[in-house]
Amino acid sequence: MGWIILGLIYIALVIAFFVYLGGPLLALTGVCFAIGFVGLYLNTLFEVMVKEPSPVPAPVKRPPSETPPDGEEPAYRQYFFGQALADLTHTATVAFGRCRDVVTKSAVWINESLFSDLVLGTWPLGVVAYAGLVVGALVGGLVVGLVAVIHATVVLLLQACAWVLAYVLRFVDTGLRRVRKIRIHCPTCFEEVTFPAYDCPAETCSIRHGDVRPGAYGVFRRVCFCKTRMPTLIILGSHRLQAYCPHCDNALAEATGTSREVVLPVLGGTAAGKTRLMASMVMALDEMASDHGASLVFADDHTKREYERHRTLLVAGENTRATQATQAPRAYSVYVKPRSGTRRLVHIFDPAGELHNEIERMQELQYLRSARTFLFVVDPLSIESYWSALTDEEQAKLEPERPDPRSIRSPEFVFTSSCDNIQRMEVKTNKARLAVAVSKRDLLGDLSVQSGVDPSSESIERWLRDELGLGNMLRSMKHNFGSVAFHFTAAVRHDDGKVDSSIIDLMSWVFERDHLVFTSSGAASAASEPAPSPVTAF
Amino acid sequence: LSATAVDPFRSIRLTVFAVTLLGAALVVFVAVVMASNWVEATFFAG
Repeated sequence: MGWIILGLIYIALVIAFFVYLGGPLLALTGVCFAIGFVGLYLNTLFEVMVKEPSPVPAPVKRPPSETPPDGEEPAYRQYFFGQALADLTHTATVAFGRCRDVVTKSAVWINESLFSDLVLGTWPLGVVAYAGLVVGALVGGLVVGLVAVIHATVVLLLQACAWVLAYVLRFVDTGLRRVRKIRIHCPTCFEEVTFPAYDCPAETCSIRHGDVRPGAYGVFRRVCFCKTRMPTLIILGSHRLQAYCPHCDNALAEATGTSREVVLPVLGGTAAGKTRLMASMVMALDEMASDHGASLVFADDHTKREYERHRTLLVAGENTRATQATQAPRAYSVYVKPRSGTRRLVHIFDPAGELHNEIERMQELQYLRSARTFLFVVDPLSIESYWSALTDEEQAKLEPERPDPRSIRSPEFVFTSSCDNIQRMEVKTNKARLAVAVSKRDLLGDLSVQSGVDPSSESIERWLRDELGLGNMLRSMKHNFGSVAFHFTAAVRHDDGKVDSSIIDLMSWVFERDHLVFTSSGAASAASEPAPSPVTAF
Repeated sequence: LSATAVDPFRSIRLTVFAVTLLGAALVVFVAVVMASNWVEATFFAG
């Protein structure tokens, strides 16, 4: 009887336990497990994302060390384009493993502690603990799942923002360049460049990045495989890196994409004096820049090297060497910043005279498409009527200056050939300007054959037409080009170190449309005058 | 330009962690408010 009573009391206590304490204990256990699981997830997230060094680092995909052929870049993919998903998966996997360990260890503890020797007294606690474990695992799993979903949502939202921001930045960069009429052309192949390739700025790396624009490899900056950061757009500072043409891999001008480009092709027959004239123009720019608060900066090493070479020859009064016709010319590129106004990148092209005789080779000169002003150099010594009008003494004196008679092409032939080719490239020459530079004024200015010709455009035109019989060429020039002006030029440097003022006058006309104005007080000064007129403004 | 990064994703990971934490806190806050409303409506109504 006593056992029955004890049994009934035991049953009553168990029932009372389940009725009055079971629920709250179950809820407490469940809440503890749920909070514990969320804590585990957040702790894992902290260890993966924040703690350094991470005890559970997420795998990071290493970028290739060289630019692979399939268009992959030697840079880390932007966080939201690969690594974010890897971090999310890694965090979830590690956190799930830790939660499972907790459940397993808790189950073992419940078994060992609550279903052992004192089983009659502890089994209700064990049952509640087991139920709490199950409920806690379910609730905790749900809450952890919710946090993981929040994590994934954050990743997806930021990824979407990164995409939008990347394309907004691209649009702004392109838009700003369009508004400022800045286009990028390669000075070697002269293809238009949508966006340059850049080398990694780290001295120990220097790997080429083909397309650094915002995208999968970075929005504001990208990280090279050597972990060096690089800006992704010109407005973000990529112009400070060395740029390369994506078409021909040659170096572009320094700070390319920051200034409007001005293209000036120098056309003319072999040994017409194109190279000398071009070098004198750059020299004049240099002089004027230092004298009048403007600035001239060589846009690349090639231009600086060639300029120094030609400058030495001009200062010494020697002839420049003929331009090689073996390859398409590379531009002489200089940045010109007037005292007031915006900076311009001036590309002056000096193709070999022989190219004008070859239609196919002329078609290689793609830069002609971008020019709005052309400079045509006429060497009077290549005109038969001029040469035959000289006295024997004058011919003997000038023989060394005359182009090789075997390679002489008349200016008319060279102009017609050049004009045809330019028009074949669909250049609207009727909207372009043509400056005709009658060269070697320093040698020929005092000759009787040029007596009475003043340096005005009209006078030179009349002389070329009436005295030298170039009427057809002049008519063709006037017919094909929107505006034509004639200049005598003397590509020489005087004793006072100044370039002849005829060069400045020529430049004033050539660059007028591009708002690069050069003036000299003696606009009509002739090259034969020993001292050039002082430059008054730039 | 050439500042070398030890961890290329350091700053962005910190941002994601902070935003996730804020998001979780917001969800917990909303859950607690909803639960308290339910408790109030269920056990202390009237």
